[in-house]
Amino acid sequence: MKKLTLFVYIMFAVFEIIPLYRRKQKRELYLYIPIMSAALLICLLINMDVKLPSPAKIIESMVNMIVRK
Amino acid sequence: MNDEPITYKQGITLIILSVLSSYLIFVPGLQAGKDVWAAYTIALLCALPFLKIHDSYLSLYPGKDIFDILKSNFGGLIGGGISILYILFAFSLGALLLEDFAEVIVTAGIPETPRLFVVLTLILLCILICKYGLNIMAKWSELAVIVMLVSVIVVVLLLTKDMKLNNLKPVLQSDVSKILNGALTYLTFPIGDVFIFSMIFTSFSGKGKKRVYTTGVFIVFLFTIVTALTVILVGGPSIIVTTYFAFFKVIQRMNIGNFIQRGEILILLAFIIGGVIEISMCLLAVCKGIGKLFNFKDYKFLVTPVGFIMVNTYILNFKNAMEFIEWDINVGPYYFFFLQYIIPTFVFIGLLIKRKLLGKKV
Repeated sequence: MKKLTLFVYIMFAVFEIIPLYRRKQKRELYLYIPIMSAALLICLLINMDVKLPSPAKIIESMVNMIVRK
Repeated sequence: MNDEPITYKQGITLIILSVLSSYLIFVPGLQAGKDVWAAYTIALLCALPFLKIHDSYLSLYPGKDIFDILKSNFGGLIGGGISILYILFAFSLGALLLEDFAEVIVTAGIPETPRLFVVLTLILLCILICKYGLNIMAKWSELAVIVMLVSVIVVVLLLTKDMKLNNLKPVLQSDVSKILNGALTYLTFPIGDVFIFSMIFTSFSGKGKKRVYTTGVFIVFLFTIVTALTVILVGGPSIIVTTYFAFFKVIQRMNIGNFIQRGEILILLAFIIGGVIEISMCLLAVCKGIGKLFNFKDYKFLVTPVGFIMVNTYILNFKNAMEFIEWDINVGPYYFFFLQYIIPTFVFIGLLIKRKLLGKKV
């Protein structure tokens, strides 16, 4: 299932970058590429079973620091 | 590309559709037990000033969303910093909603299907909706809200024969801390969700009620109080501690003459229709915020990558449903209270001081 996710990401990235490039929307491309690359990279790492921190856990520890302690 | 203005009516229906949908299945603030209605009323009274503030932004700053207001009043640096907090709010809410919806759809409807497949399908649909823009969502919401509200009314009416008034007694005997805890939960989910729209709504066309947030939340309040009371009247106090999808479980008991059964399908349909719009709203708010931060007029090209990052966050957030439910009850209200109420309070005070300094009347 995770591999399918990665495939969908790559497919969408390719299909969306081409029109942006053809229309010469350079500023859009400069923002689009880093965000899409981040999405692809995280998905790739998840696929490789690399242990990444859970954002929810980070929030939980911050809330516990402020509210509970 | 700015979205075309929608009407006041469409604004209200969008609020009702997206905010009410999640809470048709998860009944918020059930910690308050039989006195859940008291918790809801306290929460609504506490939220009223904030709703008024957001309503006033629409008339004081026509054509501007919260990102424009922050930028024009606090400058690029401070305004940008606060905008990031708003973006964080929309993003984290979107990721949590994906979890919510996948959980319900898989548990209640298609248990054999992988959750990630459901999430991926949902996000692709939301990406498509966002690409079509706010106007399409607003037009759709006008029709869908009728389906949702009628479904709730029909289901509640059909459940009246199973209601036992004794389940509500004794009145106001719950622990005050539990009632306040329930009020805090209700204040953040669902009332706080409505502030997502401050990042989306800019101006309205045509005549109508200027109090979009207040009217929308008031209707949501009426319907959530009806569903919560139905849960307690039909299910009794035990259902509160044993079930997470309380309203859904209660509807499953509906059986009129062995003929009218499976009413939960109506609520599940309303839940999915509204849920897709709510996730799309979060996605739209995040993209609009990022677009405004980097001075882009059109933000729709950001919808796909942001949507995919939202899916990644969903994958990383929780290992299982229990972990999510625990987080949702113990951490969520505090985290979202900060983003939904504390930050907007500082923003409002800042705007007030600025206006006073400039000699303008607020």
